[in-house]
Amino acid sequence: MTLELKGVQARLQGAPVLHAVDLALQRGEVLALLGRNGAGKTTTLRTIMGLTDLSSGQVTLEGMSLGTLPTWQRARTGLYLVPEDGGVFQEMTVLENLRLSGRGQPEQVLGAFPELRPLWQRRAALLSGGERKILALARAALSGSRWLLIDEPSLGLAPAVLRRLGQAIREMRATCGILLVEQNLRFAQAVADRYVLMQRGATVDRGQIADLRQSPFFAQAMSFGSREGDPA
Amino acid sequence: MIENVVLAGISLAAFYFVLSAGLSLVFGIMGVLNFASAGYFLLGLYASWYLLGHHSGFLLAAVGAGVLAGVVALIVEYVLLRPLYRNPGGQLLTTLGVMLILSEAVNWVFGPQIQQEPMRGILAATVPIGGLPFPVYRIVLIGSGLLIYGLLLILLRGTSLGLRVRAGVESQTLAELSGIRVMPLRSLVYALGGVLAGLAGALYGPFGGVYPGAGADTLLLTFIVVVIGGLGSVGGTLVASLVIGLAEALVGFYAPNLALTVNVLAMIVVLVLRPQGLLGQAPGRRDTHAA
Repeated sequence: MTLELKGVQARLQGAPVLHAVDLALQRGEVLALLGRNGAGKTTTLRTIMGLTDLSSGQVTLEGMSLGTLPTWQRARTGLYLVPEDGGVFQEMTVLENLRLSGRGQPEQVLGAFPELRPLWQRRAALLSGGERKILALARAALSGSRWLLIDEPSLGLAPAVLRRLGQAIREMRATCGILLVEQNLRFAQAVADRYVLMQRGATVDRGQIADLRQSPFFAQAMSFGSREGDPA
Repeated sequence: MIENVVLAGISLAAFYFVLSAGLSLVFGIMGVLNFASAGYFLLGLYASWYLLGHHSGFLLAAVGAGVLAGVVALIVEYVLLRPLYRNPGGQLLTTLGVMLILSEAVNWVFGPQIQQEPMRGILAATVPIGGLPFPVYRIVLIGSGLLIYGLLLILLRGTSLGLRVRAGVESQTLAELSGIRVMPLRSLVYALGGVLAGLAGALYGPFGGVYPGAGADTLLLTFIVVVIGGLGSVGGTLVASLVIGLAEALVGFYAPNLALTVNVLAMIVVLVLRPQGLLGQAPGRRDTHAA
């Protein structure tokens, strides 16, 4: 049960942005995709979802090549992207956002995300940044997707919210494989099981998250743009 | 007297709402100002005039007008606009071309003269309001506007299909990331826009006359309504229709030559103070997940 990228290359407006991305995500683990700004982490997530065209290489999900499947079909296949800016419909209420996310009844997420109950009828645009991130994760949980791609969840969040977010992601790991793009090293280390380092559009190293700082590429790959951040 | 003028303004607002709601939704989901809407309006106008002249009742004529315009819009979307999905400029020009072709077509078939739409029975009657006779037809216009607003509200707020349409209007990328197939929704909304424009055509005939230039004549006001209300917002379209309808009636009553000027000024003021329109989304919020 793997989400696998082999020799992935992608271009944005003609310019190469990914030229050698290889990674494999297993169900039941959190894999942190780390690297400095512009390394190609977000583009990797977008390429997996079909939002950026693959120019070479292969993306396979549980042995099936995703080829040129459109984004909506990838989502129905079990992939779910939580974008950096939250991934919620701002003009809709919390309840409507949950209804749109897929298979289950919205009430099902109240066990894992009880803080959403009093916000049920509030428009997402009126939520705080942290509440929006929680809603985005609740949407992901309700979608029933087995593979979550989460882009920079820690960005702009207070320490207490960050701890709650980290707890939610660790709980979701039980049923999903989670690919986490993150620049907050402490958060990534608290949440992830393994890491993959990216540099200039290519994956350059991988290993157990506990060994991250021993990577020969660590200093160079994380030298700029990473945040030590708050403990999760 | 003034009650009469205000009611006339509200009836105009009802007409503007029916005409503009489809245009607003189409812009929301396709990102294109649909000039062809003026063509579908003309189709509805002439279809209802033709049907009324052949012993049809007004309701049947209006339904026929809406269906014809909706079917033509669906064909246009499928054949002409869908291949230009990633080319909004091409789509814009295509909708302009469709408007011109439909205008020329009705001109060629029915001639350039203004036709009077035959009104019969209760629709031709008047009731006294404020000491003056008020046309029953204007009350029918108000009722039609309210009915269509209610139906749109039920569709968009009360059904799963409407929820998906609103998702596509707010962010196509996020909708697709949620597993929603946006392409059929675009066709559906475009056809719905055609139906509403056709219905507006049927409603226009009795008070505006039937002539090939009617589409172009109403297009500017439609754009004013949609811009003031906020592109993609049905609620905003309703509010803007009321503003424009009442302004046109009241200003038109006291200074007939200034009515259009006041409406254009209202649009400019809204664009300066609130570029996204009264109830539209803030700039940058629309489809922030797109590449």
